[in-house]
Amino acid sequence: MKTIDIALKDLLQAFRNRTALVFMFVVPILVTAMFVFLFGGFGGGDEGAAEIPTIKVQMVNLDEGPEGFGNILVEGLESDAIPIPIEITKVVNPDKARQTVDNQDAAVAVIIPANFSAVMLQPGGNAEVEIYHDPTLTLGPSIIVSIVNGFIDGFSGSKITVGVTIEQLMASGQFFDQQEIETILAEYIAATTALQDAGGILEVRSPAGTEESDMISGIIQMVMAGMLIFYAYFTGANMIQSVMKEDDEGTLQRLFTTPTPRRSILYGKFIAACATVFIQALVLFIFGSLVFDFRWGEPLHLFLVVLGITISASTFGVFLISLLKSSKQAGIAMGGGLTLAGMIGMMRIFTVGAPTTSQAVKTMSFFVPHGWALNALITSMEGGSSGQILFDIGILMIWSLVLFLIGNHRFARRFV
Amino acid sequence: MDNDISIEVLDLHKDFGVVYAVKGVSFQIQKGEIYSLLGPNGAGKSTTISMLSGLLRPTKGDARVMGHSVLEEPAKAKEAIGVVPQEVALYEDLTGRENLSFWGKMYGIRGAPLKKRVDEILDIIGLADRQKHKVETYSGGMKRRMNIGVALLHKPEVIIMDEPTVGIDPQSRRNILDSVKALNQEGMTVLYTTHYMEEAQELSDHIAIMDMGEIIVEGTHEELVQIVGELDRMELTINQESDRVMNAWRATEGVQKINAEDSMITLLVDDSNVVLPLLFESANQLETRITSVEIYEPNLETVFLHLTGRALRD
Repeated sequence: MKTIDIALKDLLQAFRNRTALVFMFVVPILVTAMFVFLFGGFGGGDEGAAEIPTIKVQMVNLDEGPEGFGNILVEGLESDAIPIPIEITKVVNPDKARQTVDNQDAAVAVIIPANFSAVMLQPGGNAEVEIYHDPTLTLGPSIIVSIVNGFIDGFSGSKITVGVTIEQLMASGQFFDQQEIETILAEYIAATTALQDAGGILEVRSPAGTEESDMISGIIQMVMAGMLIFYAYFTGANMIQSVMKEDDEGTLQRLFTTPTPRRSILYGKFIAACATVFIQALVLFIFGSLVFDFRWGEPLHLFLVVLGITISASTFGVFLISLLKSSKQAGIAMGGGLTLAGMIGMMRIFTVGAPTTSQAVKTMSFFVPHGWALNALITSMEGGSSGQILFDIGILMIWSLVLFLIGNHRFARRFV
Repeated sequence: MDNDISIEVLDLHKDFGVVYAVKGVSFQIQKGEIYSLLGPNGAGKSTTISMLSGLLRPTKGDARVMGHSVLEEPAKAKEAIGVVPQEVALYEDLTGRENLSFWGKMYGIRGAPLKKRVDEILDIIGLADRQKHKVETYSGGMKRRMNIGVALLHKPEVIIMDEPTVGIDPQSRRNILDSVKALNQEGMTVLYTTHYMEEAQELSDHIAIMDMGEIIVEGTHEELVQIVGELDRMELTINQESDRVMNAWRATEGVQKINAEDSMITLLVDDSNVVLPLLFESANQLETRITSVEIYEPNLETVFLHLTGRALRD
């Protein structure tokens, strides 16, 4: 009963300690949230797609050529395949179009010159499509410039392709007159432009595509899993560290003057550590599920994993703190020992997303209980079998037993 | 064991490797008396009571508290005593009531009796109105009272107090001394350690003077003072280093013991009226000026100086 009394007292102290609460709950959540924001959320679906306002375009097609390349360009801009809302107003007078832009009634005016088709058919000819835009706007005009350039590049590419082809044919003894060449070129340009819808020129993407979003979500979940395990071990050690604190403050010696068995004191602290880690893990798992929509696996599997992490983190705390001679060394143990063990155990987290990860990295993480805890959690997350999870938990329990026995023995020797 | 004996210490030894902290200490405390262990820092007082209260295991010897051996029946021995440690040992982040409740449970009290006893203790130590405040908000004196209150929770037959007045203000010290007397008047046996001669003199029925891990003398205040008979204790302050004067005064007729601490010299003399003029004459010859003189009736300080050649404050 005294063991429970000591555990309850330690729990009361732990949950009154704001610093401890910050490290238990706030820091893991903050770090995960930081990664979420760093990666710009999980993206995915149209909901996250960028919203671009309708671009108002004054279209002046002065092209006089019978090939109608100017019309092809206009049709291209009007195409439904363009994934951006464009409102085209066809006007005849270039000055009126410019005036409309000046009046900020349109974002941009596209003026196709009269010799557009003719120039496009000439070898080495340069057509100049005028893009007249409101200088205070950048996004709309840039999009229109991109689309127009895309079409003109297509025209130019076609012209080069046809030119090279005809040269080759003529070299092989087939001759074409200028009229035939222009007809072939016009037909080719029309055909290729029809194939190349504007959707190919312009594609609107959300910050992360679905596939990429899934990967990022996976990475962030792994980060939270890592944070959760790292801070669970921190909490375990921090709770057991109260032995040293009580030693410094004289309350441990006072406990020894009461008819309380000494083992009850350590066991009480161990139970308090277990309860705290369990609550911490539970809260973080639930938070991850509700806020970040993480999937931790089957409830039973997750329960086993939480139980394993709880016992392992607490026994690791008993072991780690038993190595200390005074609370002055606690900083080294908590900062150095826990971080080092945590980093070894979390190797897989650090290398997540890397194209090639050495098997040695995974193996190395198993040199500390953190690695087994992480493995159990990942197995649960990935929907592994009960057998796989029980194997990981089993290894974790062996670790726990060994660490507890060593720690208990050291404490018993120390406080005889 | 005599039924009237609360504590019986039998040839208690404690060493820490090559360092001997306690060397063969033996004494008995009768029920209902205040017994003081008086001695300078490092005399072995705290080590002795640490063995009595179960904090340290004796290297040799044993002690019985209310008939229970601290080695063979440590739990029963602990149930019989309440320990007031030298430093305040409380959970600062718990309230006064939470502290008392927790410590009460550690002594095996639970439920309604615990609640009732906590209320009683809060009244005794005068902290009922602060019971819901965290201990960290208490003044030094309030913490000291709470520190004593914890030791009284289980109504122990013996209370052990380890220098409870070290480093506190005179008013709090007075309160503690009064509370020790009050507890004793209720029939509680008190084992009190101190290096303040005045406290031992004021409180104690019996005093054991300890030095270097041993009890050098034991008895009532009157019995101890008898040891030095008619000797006077004098404290003289001089205006320079004491070495030359010390050598001269040591050889002066009528000087029994002499001890120096900086410019203050303490002497044990047969008759201060005879010796004092000789000391002044000797000082003049050495061109040393005596800046103050105090003469005391024989007391425990005199006894300690007589027996060890050193002042108690050393």
